[in-house]
Amino acid sequence: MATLLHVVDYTPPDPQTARLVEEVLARLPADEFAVGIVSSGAELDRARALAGRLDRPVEVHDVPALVHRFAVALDGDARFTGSPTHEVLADTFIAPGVVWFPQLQFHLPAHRGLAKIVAGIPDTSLIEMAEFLAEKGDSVESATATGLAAMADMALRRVAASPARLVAPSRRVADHLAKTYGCAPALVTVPTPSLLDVPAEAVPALPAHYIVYAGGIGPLGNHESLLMAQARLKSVGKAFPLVLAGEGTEQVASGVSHRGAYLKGLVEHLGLGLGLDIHVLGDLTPGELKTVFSQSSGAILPAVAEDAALLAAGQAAELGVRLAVSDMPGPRDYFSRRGLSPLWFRPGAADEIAAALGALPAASPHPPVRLPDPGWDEVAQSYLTLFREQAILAASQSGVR
Amino acid sequence: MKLGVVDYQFARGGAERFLLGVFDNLPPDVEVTLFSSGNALAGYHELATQSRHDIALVDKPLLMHQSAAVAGDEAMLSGPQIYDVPADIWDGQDVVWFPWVNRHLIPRPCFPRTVATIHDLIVVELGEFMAEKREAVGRVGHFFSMAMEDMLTRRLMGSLAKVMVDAERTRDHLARTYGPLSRAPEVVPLSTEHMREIQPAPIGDLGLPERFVLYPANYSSHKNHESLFIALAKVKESRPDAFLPLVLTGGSTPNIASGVDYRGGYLKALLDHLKLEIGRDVIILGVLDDGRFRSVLSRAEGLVFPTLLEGFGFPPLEAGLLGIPVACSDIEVLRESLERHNVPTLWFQPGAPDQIAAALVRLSTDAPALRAAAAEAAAGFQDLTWAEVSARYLQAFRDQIMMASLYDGRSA
Repeated sequence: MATLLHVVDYTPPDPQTARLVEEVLARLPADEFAVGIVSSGAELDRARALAGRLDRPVEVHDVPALVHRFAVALDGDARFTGSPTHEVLADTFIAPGVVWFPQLQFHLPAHRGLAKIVAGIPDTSLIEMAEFLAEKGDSVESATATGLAAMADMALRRVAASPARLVAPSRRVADHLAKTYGCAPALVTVPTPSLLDVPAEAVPALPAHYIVYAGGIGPLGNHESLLMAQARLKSVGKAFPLVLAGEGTEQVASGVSHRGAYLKGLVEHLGLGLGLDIHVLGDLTPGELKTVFSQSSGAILPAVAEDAALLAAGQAAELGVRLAVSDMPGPRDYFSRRGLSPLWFRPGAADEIAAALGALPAASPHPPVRLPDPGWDEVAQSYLTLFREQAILAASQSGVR
Repeated sequence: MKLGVVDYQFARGGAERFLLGVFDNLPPDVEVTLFSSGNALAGYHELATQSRHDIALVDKPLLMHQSAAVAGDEAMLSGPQIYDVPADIWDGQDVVWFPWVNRHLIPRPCFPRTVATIHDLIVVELGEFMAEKREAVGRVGHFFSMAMEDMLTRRLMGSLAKVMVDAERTRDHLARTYGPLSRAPEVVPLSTEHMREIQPAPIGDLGLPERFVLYPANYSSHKNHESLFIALAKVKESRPDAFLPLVLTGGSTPNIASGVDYRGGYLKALLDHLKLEIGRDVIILGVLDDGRFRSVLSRAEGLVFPTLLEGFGFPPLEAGLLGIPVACSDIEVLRESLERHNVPTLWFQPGAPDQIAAALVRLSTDAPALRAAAAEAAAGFQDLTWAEVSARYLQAFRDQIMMASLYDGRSA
């Protein structure tokens, strides 16, 4: 009889996680695993769409979770803030033999289900960088960063100390989980979404020569150090136009959010000219991003934590773009495993970033080459093994009970 | 010395005694300015009128973090709040003291000029257990305060703030859980001196039975009323000759009689299930003033204290001071305080109703011998005075001012 596997995800998945779920479910042997997806609210439609795309029967279950929200209150006024945490109740774990949380973050699973869980931990920056994020936000964002980190930390402690199996996407995250939470996660690296086969799309008004940073403007993106480096180059007449692409970068021009206003103020304070020294593009489609990378004189990644920007840098490398990257264990691991040698700098050292910006246009480009990532077959095989092992463990635990 | 005091919680009971004990014995040249707001500030207005020391009160509203439970389209804020303390409170103060630091988010640059008292971490240590005992909204709030207090304690223990605790057990727990620590928390036990000064008040109107045992505690799940009720039912069933009614005092215990809330309803149902009758087998008095509480305690055959965890545990010590026999949970912190004062104690495992039942039987059947031993121990009961506690705190404030000046010099 097939083991029932339930995929539980109440949060909007990032594209990488959505792809992971689809690729893995498509490859699970139907005679060994029957599949259901558990979600509720706005995410149900996404689950149904996924079920429709898969060439196998998938049941979608609408199981409401108890939602924990943060609020900030002042003088009798209260306002919700931040992402909700979904408390996944014990009943959810009764029927399935294995429960897969592709991204555990923002879920609090019941104790009863822990032995059945395989849980992905895409990254832990929210917890690791909580103090930094709180300092960089306005009062509501600060409260949000603090609260989310505390809840995520607690949920992770609960799961890490249990028979649940954690899965890390990189050696850096796996090491952090081992050091901080005392667990031994499985390491399953997923392929970088390639731009090689994506048709390029036109992007108007790009400067003739430029260096690009593709990353959201959240504090972990460390745009401030990059802007300071650019200002230093400008002060000695060596500035090269800098293009900022990614979520929220248009706010550097409009200043509409706390972070946007801060960066806009910094640009002005540093005497940088928008449209001259700095060009902002906002969020781009993969095709547009391919164009921006392909026409650039180099790409830079000054982030202080691994996030989507690291994947974007990987995509740039695959297109043959010259790279300069924050010297941290995550990027070191990512690029060295793929045989790439970008220019390295410390993300807090504006002088080093300026030197990298100055050196990038002169660095030798390399021809486009597909990254030596594991394929989806390999990834799915790793998950299949994890599901099998966890099903055996869960069955043995229920026998003990 | 300009001493800022920050507290947005104002816990009643032991915390009030602690604050009065410290404030009353500070030298006159210590200028105390207390920052609070809302209901807590109202409590401090009351406390300031009782204090012998001048206390300037400042209404300082702040941003509070809360959690809410959401189901469908409905949301409900849960109780616990985290207080986002603004840095300008430190302006003009030599040092700022948090007499109950839990749930206060202290700005990181202010730690070197901060003294913080941790009385307990029960919400974190027993968080999972306590959350499971709550209804949905309460559970959401409990997880929130558990997660936040854990994180705030991590920040505090990794900082340059000076941390004070009431018990060696709390110090050791902090070192184990949040260490290695560059500075161990300083242990300053609380005083029971106030108990000697309280004058007994008439309790004839309470209708107490001739003999009874007393459990003074609120009904929070860590107080473990359920094990005590099960033990009481066992005694009633198996040793009716040794059965003594149980008297409950403390905030929220009336909800056990009325069953108006989740915990109260649960405990009321348990009493019904165990065939224990409220008013006869279990007598619920709620909150009593100090004089009446002392009279009730003095009349009890014994104090029973089945708590799962305490930061200090005043009631067994108060009973020991008055020569009342004590039966209580064999947990580290109570061992520490009762053995320090040589209080003869019937120990039991708090999760073992059979052991609690055996202790209840002994309180009933060995009453004369137990009372004689307790009276003998009470005659030799020695404790810190509040003046001594206050002096230790004053020294901690001075030490921290010195430390902060070194830190300021270094950062300059």
